[in-house]
Amino acid sequence: MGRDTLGEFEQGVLLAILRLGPEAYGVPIRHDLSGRLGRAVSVGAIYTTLDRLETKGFVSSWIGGATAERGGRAKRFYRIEDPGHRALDAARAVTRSLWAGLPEGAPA
Amino acid sequence: MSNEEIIRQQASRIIRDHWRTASIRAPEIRAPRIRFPEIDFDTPAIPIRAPRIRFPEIEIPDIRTAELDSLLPTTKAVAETTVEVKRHGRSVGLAVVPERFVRVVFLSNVARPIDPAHVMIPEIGLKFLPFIVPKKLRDAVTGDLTEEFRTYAARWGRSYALRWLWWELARLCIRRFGPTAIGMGIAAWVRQKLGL
Repeated sequence: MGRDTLGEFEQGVLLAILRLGPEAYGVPIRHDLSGRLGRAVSVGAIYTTLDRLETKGFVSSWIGGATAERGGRAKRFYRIEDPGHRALDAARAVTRSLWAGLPEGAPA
Repeated sequence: MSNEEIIRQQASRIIRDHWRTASIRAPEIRAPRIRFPEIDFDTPAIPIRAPRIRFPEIEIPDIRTAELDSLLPTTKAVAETTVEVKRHGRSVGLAVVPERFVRVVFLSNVARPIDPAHVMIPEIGLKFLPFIVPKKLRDAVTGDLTEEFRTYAARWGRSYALRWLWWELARLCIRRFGPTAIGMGIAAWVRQKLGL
């Protein structure tokens, strides 16, 4: 993937962060994606993607408080930054233009 | 409340309180009176990688979705409850669920629901993490694994959670080192052991 373009999985992760809002950290992001993609998504895949998106500047992260249910480990929360929003808009525009001219419900 | 409504409630209670854990988790359920052509279980988010459930009459190789609420009683028997088993919304057969079966299921070899607060994640599993996860993400990944391990252990039992944990660690390893490097490492170790 280029620096400003998004892969399918990256889009999924960004949209999950968008949906989850301030509660976006590893576990709910993974569950959201698993449910929507219909397959199990590994912890490693999520964090590798999040790390890559953070390097690109699409998301930022901060450390939350430690909780007992996590064995005293802190959560790392994620938030979409402006470049991330722009990349999502661009990805949506590309998808729309690719589907343009085809009737709604046309066989893929 | 009519007799049918009572049975309906009874069956729903059995299914909600016991089957969700018991039938998915149990590797060997002794239920000679249960005959399922197929069964569908569903979890809202995560596809189940369930161990095979073996009934005396039939082996169910694959369990995917769970429409537990669709298993409704259809007879008026009180000692046992007959439920309709549906697959993708279509009826595929009836199942007889005796009350005593539910009690049997919760003996010895089937995991009981566990309080997540009392589940300990194996420390040895987490000792691998410094080698396979960047320092920046280590705390978050460890916390996520712990949280999910406890959730799975509470929902589906400790052995399922352990299998999930080791599988996740293996995938982290593969992601970190790549399958080729891991294969070469194993090959080198085998060569060394064999003195080649």
